[in-house]
Amino acid sequence: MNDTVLQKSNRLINEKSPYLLQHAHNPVEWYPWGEEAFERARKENKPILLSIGYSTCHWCHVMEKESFSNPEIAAMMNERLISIKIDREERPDIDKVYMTAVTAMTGSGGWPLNVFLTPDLKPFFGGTYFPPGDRWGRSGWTNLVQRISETWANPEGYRKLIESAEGLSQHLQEYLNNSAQGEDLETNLADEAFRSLELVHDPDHGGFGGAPKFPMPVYHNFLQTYYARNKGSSNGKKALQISLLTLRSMAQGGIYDQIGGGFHRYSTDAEWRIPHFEKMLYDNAQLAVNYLNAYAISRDTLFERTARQTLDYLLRDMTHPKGGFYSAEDADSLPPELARKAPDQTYEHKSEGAFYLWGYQEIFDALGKESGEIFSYRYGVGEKGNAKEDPLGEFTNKNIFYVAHSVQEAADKLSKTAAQIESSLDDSRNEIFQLRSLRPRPQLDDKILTSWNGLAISAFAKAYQILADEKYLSAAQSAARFVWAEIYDSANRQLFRRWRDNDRKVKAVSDDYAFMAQGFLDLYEADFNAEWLMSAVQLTEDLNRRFFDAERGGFFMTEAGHDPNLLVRSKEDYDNVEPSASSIACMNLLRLAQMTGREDFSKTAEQTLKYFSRTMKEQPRAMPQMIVALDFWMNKPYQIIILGNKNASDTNALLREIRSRWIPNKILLLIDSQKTQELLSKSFPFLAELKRHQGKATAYICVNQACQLPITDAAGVAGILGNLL
Amino acid sequence: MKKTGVLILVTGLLAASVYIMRNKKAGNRNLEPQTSSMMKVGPSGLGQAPDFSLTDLDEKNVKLLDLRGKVVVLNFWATWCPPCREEIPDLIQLHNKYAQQGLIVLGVSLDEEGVEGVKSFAKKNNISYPIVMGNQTLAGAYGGIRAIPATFIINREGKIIEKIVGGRGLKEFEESVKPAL
Repeated sequence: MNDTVLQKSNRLINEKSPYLLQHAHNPVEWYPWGEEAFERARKENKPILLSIGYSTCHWCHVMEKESFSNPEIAAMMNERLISIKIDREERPDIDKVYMTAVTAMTGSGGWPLNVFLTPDLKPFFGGTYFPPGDRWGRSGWTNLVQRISETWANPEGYRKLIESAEGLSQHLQEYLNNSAQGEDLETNLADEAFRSLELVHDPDHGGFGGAPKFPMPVYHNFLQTYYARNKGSSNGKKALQISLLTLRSMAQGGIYDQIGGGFHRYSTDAEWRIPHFEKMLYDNAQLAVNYLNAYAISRDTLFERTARQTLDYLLRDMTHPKGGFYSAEDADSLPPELARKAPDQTYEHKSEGAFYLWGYQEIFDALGKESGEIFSYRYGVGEKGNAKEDPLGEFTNKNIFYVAHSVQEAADKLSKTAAQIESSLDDSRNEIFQLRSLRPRPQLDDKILTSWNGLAISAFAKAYQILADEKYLSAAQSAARFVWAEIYDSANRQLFRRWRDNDRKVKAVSDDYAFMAQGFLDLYEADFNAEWLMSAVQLTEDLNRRFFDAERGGFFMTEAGHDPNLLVRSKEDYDNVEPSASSIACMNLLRLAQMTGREDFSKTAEQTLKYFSRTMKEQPRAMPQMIVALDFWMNKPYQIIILGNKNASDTNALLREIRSRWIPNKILLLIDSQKTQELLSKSFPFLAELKRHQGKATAYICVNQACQLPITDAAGVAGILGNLL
Repeated sequence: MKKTGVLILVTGLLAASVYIMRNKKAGNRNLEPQTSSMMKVGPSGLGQAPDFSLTDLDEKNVKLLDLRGKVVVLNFWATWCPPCREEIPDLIQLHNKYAQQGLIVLGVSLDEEGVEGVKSFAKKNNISYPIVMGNQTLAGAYGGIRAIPATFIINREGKIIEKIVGGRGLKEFEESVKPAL
């Protein structure tokens, strides 16, 4: 069983998704989603098991190991079911439909998601993780499969299952098609959203609600925008304080990889100490933006350092040679001590966080006594490990590094100067990093997803805007070029969702278009290459044409005719860990309307805002990213247009002055040549009238329906922005 | 002596023609406002409206003093300024609708690139009210115009009763001129 090479493979072997490939040697005869499986189910009239997960999902691994690798269980499944595996990251559309179904049936959902369907794909039963045998009074997987197939074989039972599948599908259609549609846009939606976040904010440790705590990048986007709008009010200040406290606590917690940079998925405790160790591209890309903006607002170097280390982690470990970014790193890996003893061990011996955990003695062996003491004090290393909670016994005698003491505290305690402590810590982190890189690595999910790459391009573009570090700009540019060349079919204006091994597959969903358009827009505002702006416009047009609900507003997740086997065409109405496509699309439309004068763009945005207004009103925390767009729509943004040569010192002086300030609601255009001016004037005629003042780089700044007279010096820009902000 | 006199005369003529050409090139044929007799308005933008004499797009002289007895909506703007452009249709309506009641909209262009661009812009957008070419001195006299559009409502006695910064719509303009009509 351990020797996968000798094992027979199933149909998943032809797939590219690392998650599907993890199941390619199961004795279960898995099918990928597709007609071959559906046809066999219809022909043999067997129920379908639809099993959905993703490569870094811990309980997906557990179930794969316990049940799907078990020959007896597999034999039973093969006899009685048609089994289909799906990587939810490749097919979020299918996941959305069946997750909604399971949540409706059982009151909760999660992954792995296991749903039983009729041969025409209607769900009748489902759940998440099941142990192989009955456990804790809960039905085990074996028992469940048995009961389902028996009911299916019994005429009366069969009739009932079909009936309930029909009924549920009906409900699903109605539910997913009818998210609360509103009409009016009220000005106090942002205040309500702020109050509702303040209510669940943890004033001691930051974050929202109790354990487990998830980083919620969209909350920070909202809070920081709300602060910019309400700087003078106590609520505005509170919003900033909540965001900064949360970001600070996270950066100092175990959820942050103190050695290698980057954030783990989430914290199991309220103090951000004990994470689940997987690292996802979407978290790290969005959090980098949160930290960059926190730095722009506060100039606190902790935020700058965290943003840099996080982006450097992506550059070091998550970048494809062609420029795109990989999806994720798993939580589990082979513990180093096991690897030394028996290097050919497989998954069964992998354990959570093994790559990141250190024993007390290991630290001292690596660093010696003096440095070891400093390091241990700073990062909370304990002789018997430092995990306060360890329900699964994974962290016995192991340490998860977090910032337990400040540098100054360490200096006082160990009678050294702060500089000595800093320097010792730098060396120690480096040493630990080097040693760690010899350990077996967690599995890398190296597929390239378009939507997440869009988020990452935004992060690198913003890093360049705020930190002026060229390496981040070139990372954003390479990724953007990669996506445009490899994942977008420009002849047919078709974007794909996934790329791996030179193979692009799965028609893109609305997130892919929206997040990538945002990436191009942010990249334009970084290097002012007008081609990026045109790409953003093009993707936005594609999105509007294929995904927009012209009757009611909002964007569907899939385009019409995307997959005839999809039960419902739904709209995401929740800004979760990843924002909804509609929220990001709405902001793109508003920004592009300001940059290009396209009235159809602002109308589409307005219709979308109205469509979601009821959700925003009734559930003030549901769509914080949509409220960010609403703020942009209600308060005219800063229009800043610079005429000057790219990279010339007078142009840069003006740009530096603008970028050094936190102005969430702005659009920035640079006109560096006759050509760009003509190109951009086509869609926005007034640009044709702009001239450099006395031949110098000139800034035109318009806000609140008024334009400042042309400004040519940084002090003038500072004066105006200082007065207006 | 005679020779020198001729030379001086020629030099003077040359200087004058260079001056005219330069200004023609820049399109800036405005006469400087009569600063000697001009009062300046303070930061509030209110008070007696400083007089000026400037040429309009057809090179006709426009003196503010000549408009005494009318309600003047003095609108500082430029062709490159989006909110200025946005309110132009409303200003045209305002001008046409209240002409009978003695209201006139007078545009002051702060474009620095000359009269030609303004002229073609005005034609293209069917601007029905007169436009003069402004300059820094005039802007200074009106309290220093830093942002446009900036609109001064001047009553029949030549007093500024309101200063508006930023674009507005017809309804808002009507509200503003009402007390003066």
